[in-house]
Amino acid sequence: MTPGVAGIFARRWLRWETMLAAVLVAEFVLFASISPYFLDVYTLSDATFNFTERAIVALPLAMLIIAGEIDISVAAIIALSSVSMGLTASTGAGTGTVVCVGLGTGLAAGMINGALVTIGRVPSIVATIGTMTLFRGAAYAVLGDRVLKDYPPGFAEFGQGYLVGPVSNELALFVSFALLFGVFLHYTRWGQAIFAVGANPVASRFAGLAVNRYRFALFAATGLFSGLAAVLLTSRLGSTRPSIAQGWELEIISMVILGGVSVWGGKGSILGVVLAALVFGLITFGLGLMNVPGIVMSIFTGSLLILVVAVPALLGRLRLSREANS
Amino acid sequence: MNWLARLSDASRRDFAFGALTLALPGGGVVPVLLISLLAGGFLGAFNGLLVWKLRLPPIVVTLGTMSIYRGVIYLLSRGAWVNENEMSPAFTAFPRLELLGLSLLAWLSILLVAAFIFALRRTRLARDLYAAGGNPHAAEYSGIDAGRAQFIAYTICGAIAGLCGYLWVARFAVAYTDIALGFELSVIAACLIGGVSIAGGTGSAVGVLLGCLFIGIIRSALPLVGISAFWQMFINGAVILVAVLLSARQRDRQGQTLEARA
Repeated sequence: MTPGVAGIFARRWLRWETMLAAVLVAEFVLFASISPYFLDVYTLSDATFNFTERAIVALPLAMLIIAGEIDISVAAIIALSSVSMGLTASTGAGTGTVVCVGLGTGLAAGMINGALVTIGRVPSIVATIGTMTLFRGAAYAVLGDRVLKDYPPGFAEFGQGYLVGPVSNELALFVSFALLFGVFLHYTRWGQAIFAVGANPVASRFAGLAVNRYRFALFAATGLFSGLAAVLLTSRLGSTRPSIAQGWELEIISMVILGGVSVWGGKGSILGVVLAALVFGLITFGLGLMNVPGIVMSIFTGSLLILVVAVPALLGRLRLSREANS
Repeated sequence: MNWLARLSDASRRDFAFGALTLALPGGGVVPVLLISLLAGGFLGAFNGLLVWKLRLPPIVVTLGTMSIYRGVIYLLSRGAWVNENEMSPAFTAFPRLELLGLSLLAWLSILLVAAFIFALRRTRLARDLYAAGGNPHAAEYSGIDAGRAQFIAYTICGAIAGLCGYLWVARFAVAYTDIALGFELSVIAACLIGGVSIAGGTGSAVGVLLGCLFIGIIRSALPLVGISAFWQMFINGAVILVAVLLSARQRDRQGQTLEARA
């Protein structure tokens, strides 16, 4: 049966990404009508600081979730990277060394996760609950109730500087990585393999894909980008406490799932994640403008996460019962 | 899978508490106990419903409700602390009442452990849970309603978390938004150390009790041997990892298939 015009229309336009784009436009209209200053280029530029660091971690995490795994230790990795950067900086190291230490810590942490899942054969949820506690615990153990803030002068440039005009370094980094990841995931053989691994790992293994190698690489990449987020965040704040980025794992995972990535793996797109990051960033920015405290936003984040997984499940049940009746 | 039900324990605990201190500053102990059990049970049931009826992944549901519940405590309390002078003497004294040389708090835990040892061995619900965790498909084919059993497990978990919320607040005589933050990780660590498998299907009440004692002893021993209390979380993490690695190896020995390797 060939789909009619309506069918083609529905398939092309009723996609998750289109819905996200519509929500985004609605947000723009809403906030622009609430505040006359909202549509200012510099206001919008400020708003991007709300989500770029999280969104940079969301990109590799989306691929990891598409591959059927999950990493809930990302925020703890950010904290650990930030602490190790702070310690390096307090010995008087230069900006380059500090950044390398931050990225290296993230990569190492991600590789530990990857090794636990591939060599240790621990389910990724449990492995990363463990490493989340371990990494955050290490940050607390090393730092206790102290604060590190002896960063070299040039270090602030990463999180506070602007590339051209109102485009911040963070935003530029996010946009370029989004393009890179989008091309990688949707237009290369490796990207195809990631979808296959997520949809059916056993079949992929029988088809000759090095499933564990993909998993390990994705965990390592997620760690590395958490390290990058730590560089940006630490540079922006100029100080490190062990509680840095507390609760970010929830927001980052929510971003990915809101972007239409299936929690069961095998489905999702980078475009969706980018749109979800924008929707998410604008909402938190808007709520911030309305003086809503962070902890109340967490009600919103939590509900959003559950709603986004619950709605497809509800629709699926409705469709099933309708087919059973007809 | 019933260990997963414990993930949002800590969050529910405070919530249950936040609700009841505000509602009942002068009430007797019995209504407080009932309300904490009911509030916790209700919140647990909500998690359970999402997992049972919509088949949502438990980790996503409990991560979500964890932040929702904690946010709601803030909304209810407006971020204020509830201090001892706002609680009735009976309210704070209850867990410290002494009976045959032990506090009521200790008696309550002994009673609960005994109840769980009995329930996990002798009740149909427990058999259903073990079956659902061990092999969900086989459980379904043999007529076990795994979702329903899990729903009940979530509800019980919530109710007990609610009760702990009351006990916690009564013992420390203060309630605030961030109470028991990160406690879920200690609880999960205790379960895993106690031999509850992450993959589901195995575990015992005695094991969990030993796991709790292990964590508790480390917690009280750290300051005695001169190690900063900030190491607690790191040790929990290391212990969780060792426990899950060991249980993953055990599972491998039981069934070496390509599926397990994929």
